[in-house]
Amino acid sequence: MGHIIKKIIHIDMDMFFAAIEIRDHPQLRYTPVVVGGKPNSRGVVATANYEARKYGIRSAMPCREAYKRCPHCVFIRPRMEKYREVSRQIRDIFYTVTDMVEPLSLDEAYLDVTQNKLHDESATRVAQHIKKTILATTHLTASAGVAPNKFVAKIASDYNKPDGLCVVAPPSLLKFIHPLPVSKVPGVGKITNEKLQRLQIKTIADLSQRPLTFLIDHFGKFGVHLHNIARGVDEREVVADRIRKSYGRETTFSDDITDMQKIHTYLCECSQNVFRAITKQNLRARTATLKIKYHDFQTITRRSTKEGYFMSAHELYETISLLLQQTKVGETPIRLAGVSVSSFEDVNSQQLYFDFDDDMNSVIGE
Amino acid sequence: MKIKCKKQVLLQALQTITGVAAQKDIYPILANVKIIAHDGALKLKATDLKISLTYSLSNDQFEILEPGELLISAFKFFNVVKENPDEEVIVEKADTFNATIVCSDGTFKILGEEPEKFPPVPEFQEADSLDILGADFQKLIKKTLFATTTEKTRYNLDNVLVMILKDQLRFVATDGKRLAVCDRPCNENSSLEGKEFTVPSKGLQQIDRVLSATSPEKVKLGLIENQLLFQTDEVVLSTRLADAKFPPYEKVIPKDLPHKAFLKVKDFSSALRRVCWFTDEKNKSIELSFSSDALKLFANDEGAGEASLEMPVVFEGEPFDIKFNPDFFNDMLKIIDSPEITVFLKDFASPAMIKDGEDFQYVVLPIKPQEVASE
Repeated sequence: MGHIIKKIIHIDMDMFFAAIEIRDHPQLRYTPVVVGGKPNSRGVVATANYEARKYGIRSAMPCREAYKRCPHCVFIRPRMEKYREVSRQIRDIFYTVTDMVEPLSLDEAYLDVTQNKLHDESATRVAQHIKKTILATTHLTASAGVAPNKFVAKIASDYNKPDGLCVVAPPSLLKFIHPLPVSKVPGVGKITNEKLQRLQIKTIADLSQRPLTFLIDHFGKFGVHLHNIARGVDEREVVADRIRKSYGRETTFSDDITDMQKIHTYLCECSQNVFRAITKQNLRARTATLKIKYHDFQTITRRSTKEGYFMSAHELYETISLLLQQTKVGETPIRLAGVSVSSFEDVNSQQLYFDFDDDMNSVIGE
Repeated sequence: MKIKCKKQVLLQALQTITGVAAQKDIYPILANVKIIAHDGALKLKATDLKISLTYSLSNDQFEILEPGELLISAFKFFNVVKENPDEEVIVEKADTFNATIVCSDGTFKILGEEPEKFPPVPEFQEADSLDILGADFQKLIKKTLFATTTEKTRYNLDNVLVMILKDQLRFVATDGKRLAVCDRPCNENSSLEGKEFTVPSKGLQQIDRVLSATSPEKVKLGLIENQLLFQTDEVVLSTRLADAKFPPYEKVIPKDLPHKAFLKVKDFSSALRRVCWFTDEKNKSIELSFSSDALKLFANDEGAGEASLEMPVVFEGEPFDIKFNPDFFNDMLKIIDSPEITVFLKDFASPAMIKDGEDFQYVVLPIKPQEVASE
């Protein structure tokens, strides 16, 4: 059987946090902007816009250092909730194209578009479509890299930022990667890079000249990875992080209600139903969302994300109860309430249960 | 009523009694111990309506100075006796229903209630009963009780199935993921033979406590209505039977397991304990990798690190890997008698069966990797 050549797109939002701030505060457009800690603090730069980058300011640089380099820079404290919201908008766009989406962070994701919902064979056109839709929806620009594997796609997306699109087709793959410095190889950090430099391996081309045994001698198992990368081989799959995005239940009540007891009873039941449903699908959720529609149709959502997963319906209900305290429920009549969960992950493996009779599993497994 | 009793003997009885007496906030009267001193016998009774216990003190350990009855708080009485500075405890009925306990450095008065108010506690009946060695009965409990669960499932699995066979007793317990079956000999008994019933874990836990505290050589078991009765020289304990149906366990005991591994319990326990330092608490799993002469154990906790150990093993079969919740093995290893166990296996998605001699079988279901599980 022939090897199917994959079509991977890496999307990277351009200076994501800073871009959102500038979008929301247009007066900052031509000013150096740093989103991160306070200028005199131990905090670090989360994102710097291109104006600030001209002063040598980079992500993860201490803010104090950034301030030293550019004292007239505008320092903005991050608004994570906002960034997450925009990130969700962008992910929703990805999911209109494919379910094979592997988010790396709020502003970066791999998409496997070998098969896609647009039924477009051209990954380049798919990438253009995504960029256009992101711009139309969020007024933000993204850079895209299109390649047969993750490693090259990621490098390509960085190739002509901002608002870039770089396509590396299989025939030009080696030509594209050979001149790159070895520091671009995924997994090569400061230490490995220094070691490579000492061995006179400066570019991926240099790397491709060395035999596998040499690389294994010096780098152990990682040598195999280096060897593969030098030949343009990266077998890592795009790992989709979801089967579905969220799961929820909600009900519009026959009368507007203020009775807390009733609301709690309903939400408890709702949490149980939601938890049972996702457990059946072997999913675990980290985020709980409470949705309330007040009598005047004003709709609010309150969301909370845990470090770990909700392990029981009770745990979910407890979180929902806490979220309920952040609303006007009880004072203001409500017409609708709902519970949903998101941030799913597949349960990696499954404890088997005895099959005592036909429907034992379904009941006992809940 | 007035009695004089050796402190240690009374204390041991009260330790058992307080395990049965109810918490005060449920039914206040059931938080009491009933003390009965009649006809040269001294008995203590407690019940929470599900489990009832009568403790008879051996008659060379006490003296009845004046017969009578008392009904007083079990925990108060227990505390007073436990800290009593003297070798002997004197308990006396004071005004109406109250008790006075006199010791060398003072007096305690415990308010009591009318003894007649205490509900009747089932008596042992010799007619329908069977005999079994105390040590054997305790083994039956220890080797099955650990496999029960408090999780709510369709079958109530917080119970142990007790089967009275021709000349042996069989106990079966499962939590839906593993199953323990233990057999021990008992006397042949036609009237109870063929009977099957489910006993709540809590009742067996209490019996286990009594067995540990008193180490009786022989015990008797009886059945009246919906009660299991247990009798030793000192104790009669009755526990209500569970209404729940026990699942058809026989059909999940695998019969065709082609691979066999012989494991030294000591080596396996130690390797298991060490790899378990690196299991994820929320999602406990270890991988066992069997080959012709070695068993590799592997555990991985993303937040902590990983462990990989190898131990020699005699293995008859095709090499393969299988994942388990290590707790299932840890629990079992605690109750194994032999220095070596045999593990019967088939493949990574089929149950494993462990045998310790002829009278203990343990079936454990593995953790199936997701790709396979979702079919």
